[in-house]
Amino acid sequence: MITGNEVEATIFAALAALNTERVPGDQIKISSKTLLFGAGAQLDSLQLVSLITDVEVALNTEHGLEISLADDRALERAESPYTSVATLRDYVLELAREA
Amino acid sequence: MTFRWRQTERAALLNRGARTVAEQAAWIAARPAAEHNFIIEVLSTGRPVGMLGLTDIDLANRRAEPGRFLIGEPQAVQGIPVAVEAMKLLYELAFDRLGLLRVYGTVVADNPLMLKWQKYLGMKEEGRLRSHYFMNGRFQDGICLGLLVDEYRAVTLPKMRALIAAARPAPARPAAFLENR
Repeated sequence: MITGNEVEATIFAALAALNTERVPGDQIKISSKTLLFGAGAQLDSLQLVSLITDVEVALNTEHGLEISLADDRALERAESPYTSVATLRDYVLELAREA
Repeated sequence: MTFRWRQTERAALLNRGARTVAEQAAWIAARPAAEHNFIIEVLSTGRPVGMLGLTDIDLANRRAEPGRFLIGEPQAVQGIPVAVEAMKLLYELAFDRLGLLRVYGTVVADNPLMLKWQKYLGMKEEGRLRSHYFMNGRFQDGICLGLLVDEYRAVTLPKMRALIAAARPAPARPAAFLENR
């Protein structure tokens, strides 16, 4: 079973990839508290989709998990799973337990 | 405004634009009435932040090309799903109002963000035009993408709804809960 640290490492890698597309003065500070989307967050829609895609692919290739992060289920949660690294990590873990 | 947007880093991955404001104005004035070109505004503030369009509309073959998609004020759209909502409105125009069966387009191979975006939102890669664009000092392939109406309803719409909802505010929590975090 995938661990929280492994999920976080996957998300961190996707954010690091995004940083390569951003100018030096606009780098995302990567931690579990990093805000992803919503008020005060640093990603725009294209970057959020890039993050989701990279995380889904990495979960599949590195951990054998087939998970869709953007679907109706994500809509049903009180708090958006894309709010921060921590909420996305928790959402991935929840889906992984059921996969 | 749109001329300034065309000078931004992201616009470097679009077709070559006008070199002066006058050229840009002339180009805008020359757009045929059959095209649909839009400025994207943030609803809460009315601030213009980008543009997109639907061109080459062929009602006989029921297809068109979405394009000219550019966020010119990237700082203004951080954390809000402006691009998704704009694209959703454009697809509603294409598939629901115009009754098209297919939209398609070409993205330069060196634009991974846009390629991921389009594919994640349901577009399928249909081909590759080798050395199709001269951009950033070298020839690059063009990736041909297409989306059919059934794919739009089954794949694109649910993902768009989820992404738009991604920016919803977190529910209020009791003060005690906040203090204990």
